[in-house]
Amino acid sequence: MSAFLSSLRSIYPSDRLLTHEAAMISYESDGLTAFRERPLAVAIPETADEVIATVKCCYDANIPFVARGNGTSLSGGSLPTPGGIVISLNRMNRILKLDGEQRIAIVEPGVINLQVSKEAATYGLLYAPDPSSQSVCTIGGNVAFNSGGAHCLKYGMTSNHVLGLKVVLPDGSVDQLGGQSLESNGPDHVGMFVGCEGLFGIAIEITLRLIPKPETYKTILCAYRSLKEAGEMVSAIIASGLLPGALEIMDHLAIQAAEAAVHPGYPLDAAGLLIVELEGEKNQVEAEYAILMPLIRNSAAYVIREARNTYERAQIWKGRKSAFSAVGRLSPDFIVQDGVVPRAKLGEALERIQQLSQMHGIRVANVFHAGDGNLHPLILYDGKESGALHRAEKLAEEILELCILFGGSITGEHGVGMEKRAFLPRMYNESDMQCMNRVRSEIDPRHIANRGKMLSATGAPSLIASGLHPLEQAGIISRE
Amino acid sequence: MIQHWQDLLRNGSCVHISGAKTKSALHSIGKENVEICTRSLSGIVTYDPQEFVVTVLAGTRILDIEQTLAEQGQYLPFDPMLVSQGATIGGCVATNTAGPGRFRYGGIRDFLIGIRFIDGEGNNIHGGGRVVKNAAGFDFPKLMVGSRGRLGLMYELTFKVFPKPQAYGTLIADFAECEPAVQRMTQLAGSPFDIEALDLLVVSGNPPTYKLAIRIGGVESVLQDRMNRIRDGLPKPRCWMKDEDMEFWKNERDLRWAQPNAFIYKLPITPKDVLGLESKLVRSSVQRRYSVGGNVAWIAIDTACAEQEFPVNPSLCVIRPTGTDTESPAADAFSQNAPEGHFARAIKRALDPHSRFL
Repeated sequence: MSAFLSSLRSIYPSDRLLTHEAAMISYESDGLTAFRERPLAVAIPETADEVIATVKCCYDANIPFVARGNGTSLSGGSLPTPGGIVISLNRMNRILKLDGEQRIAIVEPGVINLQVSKEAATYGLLYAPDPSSQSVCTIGGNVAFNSGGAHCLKYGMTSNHVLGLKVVLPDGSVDQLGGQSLESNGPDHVGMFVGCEGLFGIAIEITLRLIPKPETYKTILCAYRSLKEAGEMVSAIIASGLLPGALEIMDHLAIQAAEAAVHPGYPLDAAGLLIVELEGEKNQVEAEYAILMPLIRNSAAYVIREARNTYERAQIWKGRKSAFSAVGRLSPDFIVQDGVVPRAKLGEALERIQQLSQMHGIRVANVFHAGDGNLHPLILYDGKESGALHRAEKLAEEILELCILFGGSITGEHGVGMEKRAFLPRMYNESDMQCMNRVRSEIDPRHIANRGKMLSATGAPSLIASGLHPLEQAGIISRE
Repeated sequence: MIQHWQDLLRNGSCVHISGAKTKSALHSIGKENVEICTRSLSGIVTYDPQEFVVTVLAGTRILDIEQTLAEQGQYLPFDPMLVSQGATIGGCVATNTAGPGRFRYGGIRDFLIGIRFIDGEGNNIHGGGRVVKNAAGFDFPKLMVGSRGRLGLMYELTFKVFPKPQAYGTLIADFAECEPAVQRMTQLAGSPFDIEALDLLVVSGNPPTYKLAIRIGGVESVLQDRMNRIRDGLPKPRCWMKDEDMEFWKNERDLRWAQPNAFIYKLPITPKDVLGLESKLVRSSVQRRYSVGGNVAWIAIDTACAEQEFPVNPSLCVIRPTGTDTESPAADAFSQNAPEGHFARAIKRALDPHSRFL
């Protein structure tokens, strides 16, 4: 072990290789605060060569490593592996190239998601994936977990916006996957790498696709007396042939919490709130608006409000984006899930979640991406109350089972990580799981890259997500 | 059928997968092996327009899928190619051949969300799912895009689909020189205009001339207004609507512009490569197109001059849509020279350890 640490010391100056307990505390956990593990050391590389050398050291000494950005994973994806090191990539935060003409950005993994869009704005471009934590989460983490956001139905997830990757594989070898073109020949290795949850190694250079900023937006808020009515409106919009940029629903509890936290002016008596956003070329959006509004007016919406300017649009989104952390403040502890169900099953799923909530005597708030069926039930409990945690866990499990039963997915954008390891084999059969394990073992025969995440369910700790993330408490991030 | 194919692979047969053979050059390798033709496995498994999701068997003709989707006002936004020639959906995915319309929303990789395939040891594998958003497990659907039957035998595919624009229109602008045409193409690609397809056509001649084709789609009532806004910056563009528009793009995506006996190459490029390529090809009679806003070059080389030195070889795929039985030298070159990194080799070892897929 000391030989291993010595080899790391030959790469890093002492201020970039943390081995003291106190210095490593903030690396012991991520957005899934229930899990905590002390790493052997934390290496803070500033260059790609340092990352490569570090991974080689790990491979030679058979020491597991976990790559980490800003630790916003909600599935425990960047939790340290027992006896392993953390490779903290925050200082690799350079945008290496931003080509407005070609509409690409080449970035290091520690670049913050929102920073890319900020820089791209100079050219009238943006980086489409917009997870709620976009002001802090890093592109490297987005790549590892194939992060989503509120615009996935139309624009896809992270993997749909990554063109090329320079990666360090778990044996320290370096590979270039993909390139700068929108098209490619040969298997889509970039697509396979994105969402691997760190099991295939570390991306050290990421080529992102940028898209032109929409010319205009129309954001409409509709209040309904039941969630079912809001759900029916979504179905009507889809059936009309429109493709809105975002379709979001919040339930009563979420509305109350958001209003209390950031005062977006939501109707407080609504049982379901629907946000529809059209975006694109001005004339086209106006024409789509003319199709959309009669549908809304003929629906059971009792409040219809349209954002008249950028400020009002921002207010509507502020309420939505802060809803999760706002609901979290109503309760000392909570569990968040991000299962997906087919859109047509949304109403049924929500009804079932409400029944489960009543059955277990636990409050559940719902905020979800209605356009793509991505649920975000927030299960509230008080960890100090005897048995409350266990009941909340049970409810969370039942919701995931429900998603599988309805033909959906256990995760739409947070990833499997530590949290849902036990559920992956319920979504995929033995043959599928074996195949994933074979691929992983060929790429990482020693299982040193993010060991214990996604694939190894044996001895998995129980599902516990407790308390607000420190960044949420500080009001810096919120959850989708 | 699937069981039979699994048995074949389990018993050690080396197989060669085919569909409708519309990309015939890809079938010139490994003739001594067992051929598995997926045409016998065709049909739509499930289609729920409300979900924007369709699941089909690999041997299904794209034409049949498009017709079914069109009845519900939906389409495959990646704009599959060689549809009129009878291409199957499995072959389309395996060769990653997406047409000019992929410019708007993305290519095959962006719309294939679920897959069932048989690996090199005869195992039946499922990856992805049937919902439009899913981050669980490794992304096998994307891996299979462009895998050309070398990683597995795909037999069932699930796609995300979109509502089809009500109407389309196309502007065609002529340029005497390449540079201003490329410049205009790049400007439009980065503009907030929602463009469906953006292709640069090279008209043979000495010197050649260029046509920039811009396709707009959306609500019919405002289509003309939108086209007028784009027209302003173009040199005397012609405006094609309805049948004229449809025929033009059908010709493009079915590669009908190429000589029937030509080898057709797909080259992924960036818009910045276009001028360099043109400077090399300007004096040749090679037919060519720069599609997807300059992200793909389609190059057709007549069989008579197929021996000529090819100007670039970053990653090329020869597909020859309606060729003869002549072997394609470039196809051989591709199979031998394709650079495979550590990652690619590891994936191949995991999915086809005994090299049963050739």
